[in-house]
Amino acid sequence: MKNKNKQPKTFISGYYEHPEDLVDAVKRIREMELPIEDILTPFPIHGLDELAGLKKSGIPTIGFIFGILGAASAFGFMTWVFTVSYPLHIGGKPYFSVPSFIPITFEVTVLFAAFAMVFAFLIRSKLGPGAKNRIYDQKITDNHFVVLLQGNSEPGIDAARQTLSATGAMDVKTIDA
Amino acid sequence: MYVSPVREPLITGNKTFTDVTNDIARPVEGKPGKYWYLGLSISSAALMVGLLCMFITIWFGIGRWGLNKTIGWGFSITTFVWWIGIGHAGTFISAILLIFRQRWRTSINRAAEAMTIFAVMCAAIFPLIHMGRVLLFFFAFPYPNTRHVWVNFNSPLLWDVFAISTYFLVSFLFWYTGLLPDLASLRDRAKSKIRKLSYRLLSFGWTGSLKHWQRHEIMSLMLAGLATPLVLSVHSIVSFDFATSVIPGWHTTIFPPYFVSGAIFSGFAMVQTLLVITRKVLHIENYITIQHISSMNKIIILTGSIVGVAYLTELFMSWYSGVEYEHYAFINRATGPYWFAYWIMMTCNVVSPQLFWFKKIRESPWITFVISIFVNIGMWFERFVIIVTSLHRDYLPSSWAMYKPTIIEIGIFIGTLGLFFTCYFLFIKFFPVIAMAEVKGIIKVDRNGNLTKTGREK
Repeated sequence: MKNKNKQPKTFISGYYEHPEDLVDAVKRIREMELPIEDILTPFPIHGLDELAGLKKSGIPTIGFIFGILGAASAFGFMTWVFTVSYPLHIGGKPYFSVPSFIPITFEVTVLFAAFAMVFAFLIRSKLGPGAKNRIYDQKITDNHFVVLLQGNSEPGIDAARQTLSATGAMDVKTIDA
Repeated sequence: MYVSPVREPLITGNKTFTDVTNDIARPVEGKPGKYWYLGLSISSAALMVGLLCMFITIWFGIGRWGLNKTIGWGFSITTFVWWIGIGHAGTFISAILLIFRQRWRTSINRAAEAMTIFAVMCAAIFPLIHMGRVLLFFFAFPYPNTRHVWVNFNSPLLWDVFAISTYFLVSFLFWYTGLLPDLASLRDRAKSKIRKLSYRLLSFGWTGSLKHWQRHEIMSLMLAGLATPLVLSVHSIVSFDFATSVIPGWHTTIFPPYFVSGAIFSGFAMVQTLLVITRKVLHIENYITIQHISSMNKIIILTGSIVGVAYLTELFMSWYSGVEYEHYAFINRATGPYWFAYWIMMTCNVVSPQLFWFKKIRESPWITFVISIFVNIGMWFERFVIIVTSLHRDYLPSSWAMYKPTIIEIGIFIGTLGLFFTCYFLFIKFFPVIAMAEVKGIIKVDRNGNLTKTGREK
């Protein structure tokens, strides 16, 4: 969705007050093949990511990898402790006692996967305490559904402005990138 | 607004997006009323009492409690299990109901998750001070040490350490990442400098970008998927603390499902206790409607009935097993010195939730409030019955004993109630009680997930 090769000089923004207006507008913008910089909404709109041509998020994969890592490290560690480092007789149980390793293995799996996913989300989205992300409109977190288009050239800017106005966007303006 | 032909709308009052933001942000932005100050004063006073009793326990030792050689677990472990159980409703609402796509959960999940976190905090206090030497609590974690020993991975008590710490951390992550968009709403509305700065720090620079939402959605779904088996595992493991021992009344395989349903049962009762009051005080009856209360009461009937069946199964098995010790343990519960605890448990947990079969009762907030208090009491006594009544009559009559809590133990219990409500009062003042972004998502969407015409048509 983002055009990494060219740094656009300006953005053209406009906002909608109804999510279905936004969805219609995004369809139109995609037909016109105008470069979308971002779409900012007060709540998630299902299907909009595909409509805007966004790739699927890799967060589930990260969760899976770290889950496996958590499971392996917990199970491996307990096995090492009870068979190599300090074998100890406890209530007649075998040293390598798989069933009683399961609860902790499960908990550590969940812990690793959850932390990995949350940190992946925060790092990839550049979110965190003190993050200085630009806020384009104070009402995005209230009721404004904002579309930001990239303006790379004069005709591009004009086309973007026209499309936004034609789809019913309010407060269409050109802003510095 | 789209009106489903078969269902009542989840949010009443014909709200627009801005109405939602205004209604939920108002209590956070306005000055708290006198009831808030009163509630906070009472609960922080209770917390002080608890801190004093904890100090006395740590200073003089566990001897200040009423425990003895036979009854090594009393008030504190009873209350520990009670608090952990209460926490389960929050995760049930936010994770299991998310997976089952129950959209009504959006009005109650935020408060219920906060309740989970506070309840687990209260629970964790008891095993910590029960150790006697609190400062050595880190011995419970496996780290390389000069004593050259490791912790016992075969012990359910250690599983508990892992289960509860994981549960707390994952619940916290789930709750906080869900809060980010709403904290950003508060940031963008903030007038004063301090407010703006604090909510800017807390909201992590949330912008509402499409890519953020996409990641946020999939992450929430994955966390819900992980939290679902996690919440079932936590109380299962707590029940292993009992079930893996050989005490009559504890040594049963029914414990994990019985404990989990009891936990969700008591948790929903606590959610009702809190929300029936909160919706009135904060004027959010349009968001937490009678329908929400009724739906939660249906879950209380279900889980309460499972608990009732579990009690009867235990009774049946004690007879059917033919083991005289088991047999005696259950006769003793109902007719022994602690008979009152057993009958309080039976009345509050088995009989009282059955009243919710009547629609009038199910849809009355005040009767719901009263019954929820009964369930809370009943579930506390359930744990008391399981722990104290099972321990006080051992295999050897020479070790039989009685247990009476001291004022110190009762004080710590009151202190955790104080901690819980202090946290809850602060939460409703500084954080949005209802997930605004999620509620905005459901007021525009019909049952099939289609976007529909919005709000008030002009």
